[in-house]
Amino acid sequence: MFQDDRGLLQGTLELLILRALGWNEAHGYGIARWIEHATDDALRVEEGSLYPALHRMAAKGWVESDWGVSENNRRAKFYRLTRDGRAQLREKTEGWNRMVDVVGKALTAPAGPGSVEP
Amino acid sequence: MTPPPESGGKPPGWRRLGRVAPQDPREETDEELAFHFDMRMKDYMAMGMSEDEAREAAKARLGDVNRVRDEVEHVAHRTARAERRHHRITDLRQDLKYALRMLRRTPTFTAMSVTTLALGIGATTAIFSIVYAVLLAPLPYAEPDRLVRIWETSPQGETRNVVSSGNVTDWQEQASSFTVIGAHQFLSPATLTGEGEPVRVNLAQMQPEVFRALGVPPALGRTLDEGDAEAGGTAVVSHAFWEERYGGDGDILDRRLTLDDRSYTVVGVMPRGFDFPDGDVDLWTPRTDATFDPAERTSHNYRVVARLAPGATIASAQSELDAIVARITGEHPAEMTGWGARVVPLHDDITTDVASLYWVLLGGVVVVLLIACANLANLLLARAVARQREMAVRGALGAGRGRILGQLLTESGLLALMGAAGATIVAPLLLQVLLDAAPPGTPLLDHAVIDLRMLAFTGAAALGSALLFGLAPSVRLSRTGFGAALRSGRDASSSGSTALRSALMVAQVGLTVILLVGAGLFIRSFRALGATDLGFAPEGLVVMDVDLPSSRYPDTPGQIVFYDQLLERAKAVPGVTSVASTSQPPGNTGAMTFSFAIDGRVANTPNGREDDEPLQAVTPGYFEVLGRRFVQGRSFDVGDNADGAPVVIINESLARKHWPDGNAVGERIAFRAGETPWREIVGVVADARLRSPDTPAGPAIYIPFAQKTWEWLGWQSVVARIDSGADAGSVGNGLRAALLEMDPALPPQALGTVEAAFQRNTAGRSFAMTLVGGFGILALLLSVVGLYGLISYSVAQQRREIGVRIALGAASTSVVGRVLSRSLVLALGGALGGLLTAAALSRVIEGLLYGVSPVDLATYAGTAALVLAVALTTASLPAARAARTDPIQALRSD
Repeated sequence: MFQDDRGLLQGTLELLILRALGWNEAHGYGIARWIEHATDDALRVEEGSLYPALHRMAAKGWVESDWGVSENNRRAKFYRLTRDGRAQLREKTEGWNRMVDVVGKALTAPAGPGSVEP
Repeated sequence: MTPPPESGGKPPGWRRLGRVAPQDPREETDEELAFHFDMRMKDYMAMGMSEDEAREAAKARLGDVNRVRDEVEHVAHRTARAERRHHRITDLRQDLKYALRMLRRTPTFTAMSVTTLALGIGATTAIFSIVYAVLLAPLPYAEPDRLVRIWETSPQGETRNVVSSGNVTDWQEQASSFTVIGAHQFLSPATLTGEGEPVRVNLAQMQPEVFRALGVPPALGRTLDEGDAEAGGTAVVSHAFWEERYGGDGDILDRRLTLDDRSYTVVGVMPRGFDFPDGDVDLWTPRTDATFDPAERTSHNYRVVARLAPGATIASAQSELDAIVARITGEHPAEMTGWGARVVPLHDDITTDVASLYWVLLGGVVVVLLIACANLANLLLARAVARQREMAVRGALGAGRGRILGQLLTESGLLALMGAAGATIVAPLLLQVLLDAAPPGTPLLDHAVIDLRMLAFTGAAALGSALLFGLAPSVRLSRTGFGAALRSGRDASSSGSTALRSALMVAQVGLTVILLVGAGLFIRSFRALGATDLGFAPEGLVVMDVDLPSSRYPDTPGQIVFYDQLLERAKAVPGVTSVASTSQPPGNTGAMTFSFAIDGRVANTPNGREDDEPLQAVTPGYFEVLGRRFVQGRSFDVGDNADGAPVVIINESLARKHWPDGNAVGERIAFRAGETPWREIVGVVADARLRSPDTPAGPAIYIPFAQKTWEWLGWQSVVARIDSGADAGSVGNGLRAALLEMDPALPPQALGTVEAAFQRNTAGRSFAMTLVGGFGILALLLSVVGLYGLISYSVAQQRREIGVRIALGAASTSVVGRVLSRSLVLALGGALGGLLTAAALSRVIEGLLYGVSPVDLATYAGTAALVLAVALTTASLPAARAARTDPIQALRSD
């Protein structure tokens, strides 16, 4: 779904990355695997789009990266959250929850806009 | 979709370590993607896919790799740009903070530099604002660059001769290079009566074509048109006249004004600042067709302004006029032989007399600014050498050359900025001083203001200065050999810097010499002017102009009686020793000229008459009041009146021109064809410079006022010589009172002294002398400061060497000699260059000089001597200090 709704869901992808890095540093593939497992692969992320997102987040100072060695001894770039990144994670999670709440409430409201009393 | 590059072949055993140098972002991304792809493929194969299936699935899962690469690169670019911008801003902020700290740490240096710059830039701005208004700004008329003046050229070689009505008419009818040609003339001031106090107003008479040519719409009502030229009796008034006399009242239209007992209806008001043909005009009246004789070709009275037709150029208009004039000359050879026409751009024509003066002044002030910049550069260089170690440390700590250069330029830029801020205060003050001191009659001067354009000029001047004085030291310093400067306790590369400073000093002295030569030439001109034999004594002469309205004093006998009685009363005014009157007083630069015939001769001209010469009508005793000497014959006396035989007196120049053998007395001349009886020459008076001390006398003819045959010549100027103890002002009041006793209805008349008039007429010279002299003194002061600093510095620098010399037994005189000779060499180099440049440039001011050659040897030698003497004196203090050097201390220190 990310390939179609790039603009709208860019923020969501960033939130997922923040979340993925919430406990541990990870390389790009690790992040992709986490998202796959955590969402039961429902989102089917086109995994290439992770990398521009990571770079954008690095430019905003949310994540930083270092080259390191992976579990199977390959050179890989590891990402971790900065202090700003952690703050973003908290903020964006709250924002998301509020949004789901509000929109959910609206969608289960009893009548359409035509019936609102003046 | 291409598969990501395989990532085999990397050396195993990479440990985590932060890389210092950033890798190419594209390569990094490729590596990341390859890793991702490999891992995904391996996972798929672990789930039981074949290698090919796994590769295809991983490819699909990864998506468009090229797009990912592009996006990453885009993000990386944006990030880098933002970082660079951020760095530049922090760098600048840091530089500014640092520069401010440096400037605060050396308050004397800062204050001196800022003051120098404020004065230099302020003065340059003030003079530039005048140059701009007078010489550069477009004239305040429609499409001003299409406006031209057309003059006649006379057989006597006059290139700006006023034009005859006949020729103007022919040009108007025949020339197609112009859309419109108009003639106008100044009239003598008239008396406005009827409402309140009678006042004198200045008039210009215009053909309506003049207004059409200028294309300036009136502020109120209309300008003059063809109907006015037919009927006359209308007037357009100036904005200033409207405001002063009528308080800007809109009712002025259709009001009737009485001028010299003639009535005019006001039809329009011109806008503020309309100053054609000059700023003194109060009223424009139409030149009526009836008084504009299309056949008149010998009386040249009109100035002509025209607008070039589209496509026409000055050159094409000139050649068309040449052809027309040739045709007219063919038809009227007697009147026109030797005459021509000349087209000049209007702006050039207006400013031709003052252009060189103001360009010279601008050049002078720019030279002063350059000297100030050289001075500052030298001071900064001295500081730069002292700061080499600091710069070396900064360099060693990783500051790039660009950063150090930027830092230093920020310092000079800050100085220049502060100087410019000061200049915005200095410039308007200086401009006011200059406007007050400027020679009267400078055209367009009242348009000079300090506005945004001028402030932009100030900014540019400041920027230019900052680069001039800041760049050399900054480049010099940023090139510091870091290691060398750090190792050696003293500055390692001071010799190069000293050479640069010496070069700057030589340039500074050279520029100073140029200004001093200019000032010297002006001063010598002024002294030559003062030493000129004028042929009369201008001191203690009071002049009062009197103009009798022709309505009440219509004929010569009545005028004679009036002036006889006026002079009687004037003689009785306390302080007056002698008094007479003339139609053209000393100091008046106008002239009324007549052609004449000599009895028994036919001149070699088309009409057989002699050239026009200036004529004055004077009363008996006039030559004696002025103190003029007679070469031959006698002066006028009371017997030379209407009943006596007609007589004339001529001056030496005229006598020499027509009677080179010296037998003019007894010869006879006549002004009108067939005039009888002839007027006999009874005396030859020595030449006198009556217009201005710098204007040679030229031929002149005098007739007794009582024998004038022109009724219209009703004006006279009373010229009174006063006691050496008497006050010119109170004598003037006495004369005015005497005049009003005779006719209380006469309006205030111009009153002044000949000396004041002479001062006005030579004001351009004294203005140039004062300013260039001031520039010269300023330049000399700046150079003394610069030279003193340089010599003191080099003495301090060579302290150890001097100490060694003294320890080895060098006499103190040889130490002093070495210091002095260094200063002398710098001054000599500068003086030589300056003198040569001055000699090459001085031709520019030739027109402003009087009685002195632009390459006057005495001035050049004197300037050189002055500069060398000043250089020696300046160096003597540091030299004495050097001689007192204690060798022990000098060797021990450092």
